[in-house]
Amino acid sequence: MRLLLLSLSGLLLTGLLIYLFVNFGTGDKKVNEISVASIMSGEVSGFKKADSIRQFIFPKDHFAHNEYRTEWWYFTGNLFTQEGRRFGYQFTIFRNGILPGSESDSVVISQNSLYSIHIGISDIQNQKFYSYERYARALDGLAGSDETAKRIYIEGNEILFDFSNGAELPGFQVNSSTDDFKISFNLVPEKKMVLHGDKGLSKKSNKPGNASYYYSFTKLNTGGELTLQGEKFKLNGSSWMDREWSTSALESDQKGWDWFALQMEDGTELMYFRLRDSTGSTNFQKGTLIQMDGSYDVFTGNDFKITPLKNAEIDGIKYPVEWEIKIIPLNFVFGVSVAMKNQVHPFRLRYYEGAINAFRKSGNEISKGVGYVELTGYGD
Amino acid sequence: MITLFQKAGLRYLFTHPWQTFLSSLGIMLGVAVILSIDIANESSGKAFDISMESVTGKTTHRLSSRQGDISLSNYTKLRTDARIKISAPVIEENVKVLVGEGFTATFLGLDPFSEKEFRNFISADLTGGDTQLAQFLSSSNTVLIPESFAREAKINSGDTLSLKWGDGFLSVVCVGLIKSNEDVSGDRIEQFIISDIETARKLFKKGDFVSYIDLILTPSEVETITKTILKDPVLQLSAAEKSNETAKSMTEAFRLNLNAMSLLALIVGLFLIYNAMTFSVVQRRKLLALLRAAGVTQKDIFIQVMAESIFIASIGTIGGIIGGIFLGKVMLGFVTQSLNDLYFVTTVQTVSLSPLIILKASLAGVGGTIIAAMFPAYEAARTSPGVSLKRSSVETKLKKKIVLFSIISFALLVIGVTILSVSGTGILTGYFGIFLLIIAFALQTPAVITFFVKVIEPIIKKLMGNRGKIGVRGVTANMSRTSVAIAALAISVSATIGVSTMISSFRGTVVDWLEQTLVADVFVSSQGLVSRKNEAVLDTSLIQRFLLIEGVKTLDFYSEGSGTINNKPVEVFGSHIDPENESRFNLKEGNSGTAWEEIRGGSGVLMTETFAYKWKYKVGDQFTLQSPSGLIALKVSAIYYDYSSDVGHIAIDYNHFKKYWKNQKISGIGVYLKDNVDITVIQKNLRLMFPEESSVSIRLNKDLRDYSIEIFDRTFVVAGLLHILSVIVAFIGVFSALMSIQLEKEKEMGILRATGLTPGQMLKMISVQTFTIGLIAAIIAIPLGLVLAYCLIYIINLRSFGWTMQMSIDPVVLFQAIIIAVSASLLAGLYPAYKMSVTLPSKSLRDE
Repeated sequence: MRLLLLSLSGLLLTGLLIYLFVNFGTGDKKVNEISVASIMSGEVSGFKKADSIRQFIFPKDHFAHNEYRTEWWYFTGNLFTQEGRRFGYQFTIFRNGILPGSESDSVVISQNSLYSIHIGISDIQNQKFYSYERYARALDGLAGSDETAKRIYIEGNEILFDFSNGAELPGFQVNSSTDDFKISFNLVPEKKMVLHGDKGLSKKSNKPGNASYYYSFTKLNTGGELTLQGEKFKLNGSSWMDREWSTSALESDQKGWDWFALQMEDGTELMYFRLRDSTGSTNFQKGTLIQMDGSYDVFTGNDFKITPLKNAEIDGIKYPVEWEIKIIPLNFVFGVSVAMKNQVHPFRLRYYEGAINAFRKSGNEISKGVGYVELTGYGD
Repeated sequence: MITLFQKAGLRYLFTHPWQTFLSSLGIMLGVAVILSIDIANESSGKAFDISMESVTGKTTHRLSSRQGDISLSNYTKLRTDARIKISAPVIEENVKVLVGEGFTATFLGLDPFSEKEFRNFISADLTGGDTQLAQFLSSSNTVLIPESFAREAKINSGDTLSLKWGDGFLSVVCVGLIKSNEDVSGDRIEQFIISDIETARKLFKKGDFVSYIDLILTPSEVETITKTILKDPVLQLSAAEKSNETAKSMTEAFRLNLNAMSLLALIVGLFLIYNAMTFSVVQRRKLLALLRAAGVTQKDIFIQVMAESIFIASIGTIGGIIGGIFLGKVMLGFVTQSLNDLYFVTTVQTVSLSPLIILKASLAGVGGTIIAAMFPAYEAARTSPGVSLKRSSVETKLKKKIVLFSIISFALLVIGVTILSVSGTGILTGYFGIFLLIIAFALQTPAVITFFVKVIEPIIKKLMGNRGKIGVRGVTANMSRTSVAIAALAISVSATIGVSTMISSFRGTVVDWLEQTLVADVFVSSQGLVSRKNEAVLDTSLIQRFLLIEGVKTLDFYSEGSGTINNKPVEVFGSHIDPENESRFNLKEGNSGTAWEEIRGGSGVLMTETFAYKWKYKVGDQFTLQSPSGLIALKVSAIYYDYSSDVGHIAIDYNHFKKYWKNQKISGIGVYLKDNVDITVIQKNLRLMFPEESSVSIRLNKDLRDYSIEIFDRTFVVAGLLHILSVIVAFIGVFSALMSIQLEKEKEMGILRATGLTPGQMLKMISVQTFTIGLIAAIIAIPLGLVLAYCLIYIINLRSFGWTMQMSIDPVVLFQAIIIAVSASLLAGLYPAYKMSVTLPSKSLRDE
């Protein structure tokens, strides 16, 4: 009996050894992904930089600039039902340049341009945030910037331009169709175009070339329909449109930015942004104050003082949710707070894009307002 | 602790090293053959799985067009209208990389921005601006290659590669290697070339089309697509696993047959083990009787004999596993070649060795031995101290049992034939029936021996006197052992006859068929990467241009498309057959007069025999074929013989075909010439119609026939190899068995020598005996072999592939069988004869 066991165990052992021997070194293998981790700092030569003042030409400049690396059409707004129920929305189409320049007509699936869309809906009443992201290479019918059709589009989402009041004062139709919601908004400008920075050349640091071309429509009367989870809402309110393109990157000492767009009941608007360093202090800041009549002034550097007053933790990351922003030369003090806590896009590039409430105290007078905030680089 | 008793058993094995070695060798070869076939099957299967998995990735569904490529507008619709979240357009082409001896590879055009969810070759982030990615996208011919493939093909980053694709050549630059990493299961060995989808679109001139669109769908998305996009009858949505399964099931019969043939080697091996163990027991009969007398129990003896056999089995199995791994590599090459010739392009670089197949081979070796040794061990345990000293008792018992054996044999024969005739289309049941027939024949061995010896005894006596008679009688006198050896020899020789006859019948049938089918004078086609398939690359305009060539009389041509019948994929040929050439279709069923009328009228279809067999169609059956442009109602007008592929196809008239499959290219053209035309001039003129670098082949009738037969022969290399191996197993087995028998008769020979027999006379006597053994084996083997051939041809082959063949018996094969049987046994007698001739008679008789 022992001999039997001995033989069998010897056999098993040998089998095992052979198996190990044969399989030795042929361990599991995997094909790597091509990493594009160095997204924002990767240098690709050949793209133009926003390094000088530009003579804008419309309607051409409303559409894609393939010679620059990054570009966006950015709508944000606060809209209300007749009963006063409030919704915040962000609707942004991005174009990212993979390779610089325009492509020949023979190209079908673009190797130069990647379009993406981010939509955020803030249901303030229910404290619920809807986030939507899609991307596609430029391909006829799928994604692209089409000057003839006056259309920027990706999948079932589009921005249509209306130039009936001239190319410099366009109206917009913003449409979107997703599983969670449908958007159909009509936007009419109340004020003329605002060129930020130096005639539309907006610096992001003190380094030349690190700038973007940046203009806005700061007050767009907005009406339309939002269908959310099957429920239809008729909405009215105002939107803000930012249009920006550049080949700029963050400086090595810049970690992220805070951007604010305020629309006050007194008819003024404020655009303010600051770039932060790794300690959270302001590295570079700038802003534009727009008057009721549409005239505007640019403020820079030490004109502003921003103080975060309160933080909130969302998904383990701390974001400021309340601020005080001072325009020192005017002695304006704005109090700003988010309209609801969680308005974070859980994308790979995670950021906060949310509706805010604002007020401005000057003497005894208090003017209220609403707006949008964008916070990037937190928790990185 | 090992007891003295157990030590004695082990010692026996060591003091008879030759016997131990030869028994082990038999097991070793049996195990090696089984393992090698398993390795070849599993490695090629795994390579196929991996390449399918790598190509499909995590895809759940695939949207494709029945007409070939699918328009990108469908991709846009999928994303925009149907709001499908996860999709990726893919361009897939088979190419040959012209480096060294050439490597077939799958060229994949992918969109890095859509790939993340699907495959892990390449996936870019969404923000762009990556230098590496930019380089990959910036040029019109840049590709990436997996590191493992680059190493294999000796390609470096920066190399320019020449690719053969269909009819032409492409030049691409490898701009990077995709690194291997550790954290995904399974070794991924890919022969892939990856480019950006836009690059591939330009290289392969796809226009606004891609090969297919991969999708990861939720059930509700499937519904959405079905309701919207699939309204276009050209489009089809297939579940990913299903298309893999279809491709795999094509090769199922092929693999099953290889497995069955490898089992044959083991069956022969088991006979050897039985023989060896019986011999070792019988030889120790005296010792066992003494042990029993000394108080060793029956159980002890049984276990002891089993342990010995397992020891032998262990040695044999270990050796077999080592040998099987090496043999497996050789087999893998042949199996892969056959798969590529017959079914699809797959490249196998690694031998995959799962614990399971090693376990299977070990079980076959050890388990088989245990079963085979059970009877001798039982026999040994039953020896009662007194009787066992008499060896003749076993022989007497056996003789009494001959009638019983015959009855069992007859019963098995009836059961076997019944199983074969009623088991329908089962391949495994077919093999089981055949197995029963083999056993039935084997059980007849004692009866045949008795009869045959009675017949030739007087003849031999007349020719060689009493010494000859003693030799012949020795066969019956030691029947308990000779019958097993003869049965083993007969079975292995019959396997030789069966397999050879099957192959030669098949070959003969194919040659006849080629003769009848390939009647055109010149054939124009583009060889696809799967040897049995032509690639459809010829423009339809060629037809008119060919007819204008001086000397050309008529043309036959065909185009290929795919459709579905009841959701099962079908290959559809659109054939233009000149009425004069209709007779080249050898109809198996159907009226040639009305059939052609129906086919030309558009309502009839020609069906290959294999297709009709697989899907159970008869002439007159009606069915609906889903084509890219809608449903076609068709009727089976005729079934014809076709040996080009076991997958089978249906053929309709070209004029109708082109209505449903639009813009389909032509796969092959047969050119018929007028009388007295210089064929080489025509060949040259045809050649001039294609660009110089074109890989369109223009073959003369004879060349194509030779080429087809070459592929056929290549396909049967594995079968041939297996068959040679089983002959070797048989040879060694018979050799060892017969040698043992002769060695055992040492004493008998000693007496004869002592009474004056010279060594020469003794050699003659032994040779007469071994010759008789060989001859009897051949006598059993020939009818059994023919029965096997019949079963392989009319049962196994038909059930596996659906082909009928004309069985033709080659006298050379039968003669060869006799030579193998007789020479194996004659050779086995030489060593004992020599040994006994040099031993002094007194030494062998010392015991007396």
